[in-house]
Amino acid sequence: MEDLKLISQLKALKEIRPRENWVVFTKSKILSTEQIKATNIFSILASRFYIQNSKKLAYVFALLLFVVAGIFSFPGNAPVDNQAVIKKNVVALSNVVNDLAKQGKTDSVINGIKTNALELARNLNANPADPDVMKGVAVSLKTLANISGVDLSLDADIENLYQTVVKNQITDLEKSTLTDEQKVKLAEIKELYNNKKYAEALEKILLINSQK
Amino acid sequence: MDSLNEQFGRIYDEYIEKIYRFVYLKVGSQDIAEDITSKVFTKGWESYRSTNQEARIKNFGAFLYKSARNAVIDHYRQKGRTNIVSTEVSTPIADPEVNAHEAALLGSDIGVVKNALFGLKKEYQDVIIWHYLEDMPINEVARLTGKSEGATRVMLHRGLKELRDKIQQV
Repeated sequence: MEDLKLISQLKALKEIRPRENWVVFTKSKILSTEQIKATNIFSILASRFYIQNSKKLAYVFALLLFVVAGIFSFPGNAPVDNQAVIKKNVVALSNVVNDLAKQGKTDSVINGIKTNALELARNLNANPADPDVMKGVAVSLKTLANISGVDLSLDADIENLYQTVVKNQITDLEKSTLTDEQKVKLAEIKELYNNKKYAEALEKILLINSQK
Repeated sequence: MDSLNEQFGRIYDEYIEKIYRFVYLKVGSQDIAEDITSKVFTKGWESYRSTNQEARIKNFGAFLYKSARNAVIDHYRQKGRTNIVSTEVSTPIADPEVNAHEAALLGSDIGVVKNALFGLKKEYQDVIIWHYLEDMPINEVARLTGKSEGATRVMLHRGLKELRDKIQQV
């Protein structure tokens, strides 16, 4: 083979690139170390998860925590750049969890969430968080429920977390300006909440949030 | 003035693909390449923010490459695979999580080059990747390898010859 052809083929190896999700997540994780450390609830949970689970699953949970911690760090008036990073990480979380779902590893992820859900619910009740934090948790719960195909709200360990998130989001919606149609939906959500149908309530909440 | 985060963010954007590619071509696995690259940049960030402005590493790219090269060596040490280099053409590594693009590469001429490169001595891998893939001038490659420019040119020549031989054996 001629040198020029070989060199040309070597240059073609530039096409090898890392996964975009991974690039975004890794950058956010590295540059946000201090923010995550400052968020006690989540760092405690993350460290537990790292001990209890494989690295790849820990990566998913750390990503989930990062999304939540990231939102927690920039309440209300988050700079555009930070909001973009958070949004990217929510997408990255969904993609990574979906990858794991294809490999049949969601059970372990959900077990990790279950192990920590009670404590997370307790902490969120004791220290009411910004509604945006709850939205982060809500989106993550929905993502996991979607890919596992299981109604996680029926799980005794996770039910309290669902209840906390839904209750907080109802309160937040009550303070928001809603259209007539959204008001009707909010009434339905309250009914679902009273009947302890938290997963269905969460679905409708996310729908309203996506329209706000 | 830019914050440290912004400064390092730009370094990250500039080098993440290069360092990942460098590591991937030396370990042949997406998972391991991601793991090692992530550690390289984490270490890089810790180093970057812990030094004062005057002492801050000027050629950070070289620092990252050296760090990546050492991390790959550590990886093989831990795996007890320091003698992975063979005189035979390497069998393509089956990576269960290889992405679609790389799967296409594996079946092409470029895939053959990639596998042959994987089977080269690590010194040859380094100089070939830096010079031919990443277009690094000889003097910078020489600085990274700690050899003279003349010796670096000889290594490149020998590495390319060995690569060509391996490909022709396929």
